[in-house]
Amino acid sequence: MTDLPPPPPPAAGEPPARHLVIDIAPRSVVFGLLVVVVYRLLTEIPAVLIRTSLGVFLALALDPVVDAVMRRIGLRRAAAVTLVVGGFLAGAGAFGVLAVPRAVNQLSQVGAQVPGVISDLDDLPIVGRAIDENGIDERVRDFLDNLPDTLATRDKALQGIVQSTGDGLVTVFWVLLVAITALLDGPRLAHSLRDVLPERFHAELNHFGDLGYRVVGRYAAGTGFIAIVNAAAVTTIGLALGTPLAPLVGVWSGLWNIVPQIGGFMGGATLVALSLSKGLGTGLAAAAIFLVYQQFENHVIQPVITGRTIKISPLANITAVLAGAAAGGFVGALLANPLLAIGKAFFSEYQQRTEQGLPRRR
Amino acid sequence: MQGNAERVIIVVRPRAILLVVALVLVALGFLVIAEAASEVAQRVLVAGVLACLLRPLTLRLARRMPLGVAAVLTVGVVLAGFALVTAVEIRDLVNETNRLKVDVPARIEELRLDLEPDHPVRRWIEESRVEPRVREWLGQLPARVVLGTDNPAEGASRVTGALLVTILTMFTITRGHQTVLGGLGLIGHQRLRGSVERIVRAAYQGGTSYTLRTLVLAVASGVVAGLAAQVLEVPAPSVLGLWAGMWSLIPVLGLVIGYLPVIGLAAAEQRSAGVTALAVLVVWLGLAALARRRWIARHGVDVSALLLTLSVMGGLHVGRATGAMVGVFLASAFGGALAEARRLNLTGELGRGLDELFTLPPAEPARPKPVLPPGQARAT
Repeated sequence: MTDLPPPPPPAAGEPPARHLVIDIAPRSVVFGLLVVVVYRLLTEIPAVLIRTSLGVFLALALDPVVDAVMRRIGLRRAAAVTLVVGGFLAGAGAFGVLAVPRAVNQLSQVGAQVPGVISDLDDLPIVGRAIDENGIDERVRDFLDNLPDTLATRDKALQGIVQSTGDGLVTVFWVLLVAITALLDGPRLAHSLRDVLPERFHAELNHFGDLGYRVVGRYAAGTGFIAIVNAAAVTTIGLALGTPLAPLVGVWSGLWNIVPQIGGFMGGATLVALSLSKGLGTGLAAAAIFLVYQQFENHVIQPVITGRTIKISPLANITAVLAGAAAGGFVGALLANPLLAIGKAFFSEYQQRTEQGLPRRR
Repeated sequence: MQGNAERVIIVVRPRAILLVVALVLVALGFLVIAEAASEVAQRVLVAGVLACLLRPLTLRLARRMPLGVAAVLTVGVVLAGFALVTAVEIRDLVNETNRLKVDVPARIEELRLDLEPDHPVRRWIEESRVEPRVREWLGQLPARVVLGTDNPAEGASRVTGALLVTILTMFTITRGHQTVLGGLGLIGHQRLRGSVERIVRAAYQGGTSYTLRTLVLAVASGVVAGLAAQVLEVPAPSVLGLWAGMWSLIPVLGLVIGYLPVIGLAAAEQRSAGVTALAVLVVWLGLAALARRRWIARHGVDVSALLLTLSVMGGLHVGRATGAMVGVFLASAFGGALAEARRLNLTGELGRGLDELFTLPPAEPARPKPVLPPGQARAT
């Protein structure tokens, strides 16, 4: 460095000194600005990001099934995707046709049953007195009685309901469309993007891409399978006990089951709450059976299906889920675990290479 | 300190500090401006895309007249076409809305009278004043469809925005080319500039060609749906045609969803009419798929269905029909750019440019040692 004065001569017993100059190339500023621009664009469209993430997650969950269909039946990818997505939609449609009319009928009965059950809860030990003193049954009855007025007087309420239903349909359509096109075209797009980069990076990108896909793909597929088992189990428990809206509670529980740690509680709590409308004994029976099922799921099904793909401590798991939920709601909680697993897999790979002194893949 | 240890004095150059501060300030400034001017940025983007789409026709006209006149003529023709479509749509929509204004309240009243006096749905219809509200909503429908809002002030603002986009489009058609070339000239690295120029050209050509052909196919889909509705005596055929044409921009399922109202309304009138509408959809699906493969993909650019879906849905979310068109253009332009970048990478041109850009320049060369004559060196 010609423009720097030489380092001061070392004192007696001191080692010699040298300069370490830190400089920044102007193009680094351009790259930094590009990152800011991309960040701004992404934050502009949170709904797009959420729906796209859900679609890609669904595609990853269905991809092993598509691969299996291609291998076993010998179909081309487009035909296999049509078959799998068609089967998925047919199953969802059959569920809707069979379960929704019954659920709508039951929904009208729930309004009449809930205040009666809450009155019964006055007799419960410990909490019964608090329910009685705070007049919770009266409040619920008032809420149900005033619901038409609430809808009539608040101008935006009716519009809000219509809008949320419309938004829900748009979201379902969007997620399905992204999932179908990701299944059909995702691998080709990934290869095209990779081919733009210099060839010496390809082996490295392939390796880390496969690693990420293996972790997230298996997690998505395993979680999806367990969610279906959970939905079936909760629906069966609900139907056996005569719980109102049993099929819908099953779907609700299955969806929440995708969220690790807290999802099981959310599904079970709804089942128990609605079972209570049939009587206290039914509610307690639902709680007991659900707890037994949950133990079976946690200790038998889950370790077999996803145990080998995601090895994260429960504390790290719940912390990630809570942070994800705070940042991005349901979708954040859903994606927190696989992202953490990818991070861990990449770090393990890096650590292994460092320990073994392996060079970069070429 | 141990025996062979070395002391390191860290020196941060003033230029590095200034650059970091500048980056932070520029990033903050960008975020503030982006927050305030996102609507303007959207209009500039729309104008840019429209200019790209209209430029081929303008250049053809410019062989016989000055470029500015050609640009005005092209934009004028497009505006006239848009006004014609809107006039037809409004006439159809107003007629159908008037019909619905009578039919829907009558159906609600019929439903109310069919129910028991204490039935919750009847109570809700009465207490929530569903019938007058629905009538009012239907009255606002034409304005909502044409202007996207039933608020007059907001509608006026949108008309002003459309005028701004028109003026910007004409400017971009006449001056956009030089502006892009000037921007590319700012890239100092010669090899990289050459690569970026080729990529930008491929993006423009691919995006324009693919989008124009896709729009032509969408218009054809809309015309087929409208004609089918007209022949099968389904209400509001032109509105249904417009609806089907817009949905056909969305890949994979868009065309099917766009035709569903035609099939549903035809089936509601007569079952055989529904079957005929379904048959029309199936035949048109086959023809549209053939056109995409033989005409669009071969003469335009091979666009990823996933990318197109994300882009069109994102565009619809941000800017409705115009946003969807911009989404098609951006996805196809990205497809064209990607294909060119892959070609350049195969020849090694892009890779070398990127390598030279990403690799830091070599440090100052070490001072050459003085070369001494052999005899002198030996003596030393």
